[in-house]
Amino acid sequence: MSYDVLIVGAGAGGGSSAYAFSRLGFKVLLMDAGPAYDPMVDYRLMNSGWEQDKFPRRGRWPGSYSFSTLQELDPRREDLRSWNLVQGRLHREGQRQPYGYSHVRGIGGSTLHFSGEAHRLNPQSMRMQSRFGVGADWPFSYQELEPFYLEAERILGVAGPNPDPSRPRSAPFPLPAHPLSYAGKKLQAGCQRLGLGWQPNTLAILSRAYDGRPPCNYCGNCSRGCPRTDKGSVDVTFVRRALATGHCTVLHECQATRIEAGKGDRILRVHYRDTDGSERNVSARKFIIACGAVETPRLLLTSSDSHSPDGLCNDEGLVGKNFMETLLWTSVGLHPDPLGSHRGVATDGICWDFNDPDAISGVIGGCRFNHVTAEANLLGPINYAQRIVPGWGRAHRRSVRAAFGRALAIGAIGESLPNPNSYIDLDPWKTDATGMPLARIHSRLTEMDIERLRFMAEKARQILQASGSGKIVEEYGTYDFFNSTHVFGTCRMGYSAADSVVDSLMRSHRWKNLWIMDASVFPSSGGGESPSLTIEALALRAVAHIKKP
Amino acid sequence: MKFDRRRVLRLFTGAALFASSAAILKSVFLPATLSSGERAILKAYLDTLIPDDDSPGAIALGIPEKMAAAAEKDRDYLRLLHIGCSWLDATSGSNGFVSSVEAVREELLDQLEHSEIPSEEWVFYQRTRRDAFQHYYADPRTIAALDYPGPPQPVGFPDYGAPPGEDGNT
Repeated sequence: MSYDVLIVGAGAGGGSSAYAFSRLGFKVLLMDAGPAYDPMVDYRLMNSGWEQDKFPRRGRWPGSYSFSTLQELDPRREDLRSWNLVQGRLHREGQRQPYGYSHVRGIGGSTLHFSGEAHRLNPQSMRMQSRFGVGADWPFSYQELEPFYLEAERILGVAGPNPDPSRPRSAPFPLPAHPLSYAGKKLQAGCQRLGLGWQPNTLAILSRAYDGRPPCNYCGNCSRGCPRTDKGSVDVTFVRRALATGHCTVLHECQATRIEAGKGDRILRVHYRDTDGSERNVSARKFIIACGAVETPRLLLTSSDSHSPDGLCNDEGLVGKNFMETLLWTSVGLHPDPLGSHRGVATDGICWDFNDPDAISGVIGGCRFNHVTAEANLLGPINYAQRIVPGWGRAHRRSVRAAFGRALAIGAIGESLPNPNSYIDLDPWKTDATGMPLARIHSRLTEMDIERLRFMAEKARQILQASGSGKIVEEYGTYDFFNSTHVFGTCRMGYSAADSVVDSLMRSHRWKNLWIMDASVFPSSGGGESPSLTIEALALRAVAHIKKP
Repeated sequence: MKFDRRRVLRLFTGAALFASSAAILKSVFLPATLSSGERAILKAYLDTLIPDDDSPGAIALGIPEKMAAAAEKDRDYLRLLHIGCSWLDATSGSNGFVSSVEAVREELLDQLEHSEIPSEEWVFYQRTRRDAFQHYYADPRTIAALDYPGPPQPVGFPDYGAPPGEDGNT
């Protein structure tokens, strides 16, 4: 069977482009290596053992990747090592350790387990090369993207403050912001004491009933999957609408293994492994690759042939380069007062004061701070007992009872700048169950990254102190661990084929019917913004420029 | 004896950072299960780690049996329990750990908690402590003692903006 559009990857970019194409009447096949999740069945937040479960990853083709050797750690930077009160340092090696790349395979992709953040990119972060001499500029302005941000926010049901002081916008948010949690108000008060701003986070989580979905009931467990569908993951928003057009077919647990190119710089078909392991292929007129900044270059590099001996779209050797990762810091305090901090949306409040690329003295690239008690997985007694309440015996049990609900965590995510030592390539030895070589992650933090991280750590500690949570019980960051959820840059977009993989509409410079619609096209990461809303806006914009069938 | 770095990371993160392989395991014969003596030591150890009080402890909740069963599926974990039980028994004196009085058992747990990092004893303590608390606080009988209304769904926490305890919301 042939389709107008074949989309590989059903996350933020794949799902939103599936909707955008379907509503125009294109016959769309949306394919993902992972399963379709049933919120009421798969997300076990109603069970007594809920805390033991993380997001229920499953499926015929589980993802895997490898790491090259990571960098040595500087003994002078002990204050940036990860630790908790029970275990001490989380590792004692002299080398950065690979913790993981948090990537969900499934219809909805990583939005299935995200905390619902729906951030627009800071316009200042789109001019990193021309303003700061680092990285690359985006090949269009924020103003060109703004209408598509509005559309994506409307489809998701984004809740945010009106007016929003952090970003220029031409219309209000569709839904009012979620009020801050009781615990989140402590962080707000702390920021105010320091002269810092703190505002409700902009979230793809419903504050009212909307689009046939109920409002959030503030359980805090977005990362474990939302059984109520109030969280705007791509499956219950864009994909649901795509299916409703009647023009979209979804294929799950089918892993793409190779893209086959033909003459005339056109892609012919995608080969994949079906659920039963059989090898199949499907052809289309247009191909959208939306597997994320690790898996997209993997698929392209694996698809080498006589047309592209070094991998598809890789004529200039840029596929996999400019890899940007998540620069992260979290400090957890124990507040003297009961907070009930397990209640509320996962990340209700945020400080954007240092988000501009020149906001941190001596450092290029900004960051943001947000309430992360839920993201730190301190929502139930198991994690209190294991991580932040030391000891054992009856005294320990009394301590856990006294501590529960008093954890208060502040997190920071910062800009990641590209450097030549951070890239994705194919592992020369390891393959997955289909025989595809694994993506291999090469990561190196630069001195500027580390100084940005130091700022994030010190400011997080100040905010906790000012919030009354002076006793810090756990800290972790990406100085001594590689731990990424947001990844970018490996198929950069730009004006010229000499320094970019795709053009400003995310179409391959060479392959006329191939687009890449995920964060691998980002020329910059931003100062910690969550990328899913930008990915969705980019996809809507790209499809808007494609003629109807 | 220091514990192998790969084993430490694997046993701690809960995820198989490194796949089990013959290269990691020592070529030492291990029985497929804990012996009856080791099971008794594990039971006594967990009874000290999580004793009864106004709520059931580890023994009442069947935690020793759960952990022994998990060890039968994980060779590294089995070896760790074997090491830990041997240490407890050897260090408790002529009576052995099971027959030791509460004060002696508590002293040994204190030693484990403060043992050299990353000695085998330290890894044993950290891993078994982590697993025991996972089983313990996943049991609904312990949640009740916390005055926590969980699980999080289907009710959620609609009064999340108020101080805990107001309007019956914890």
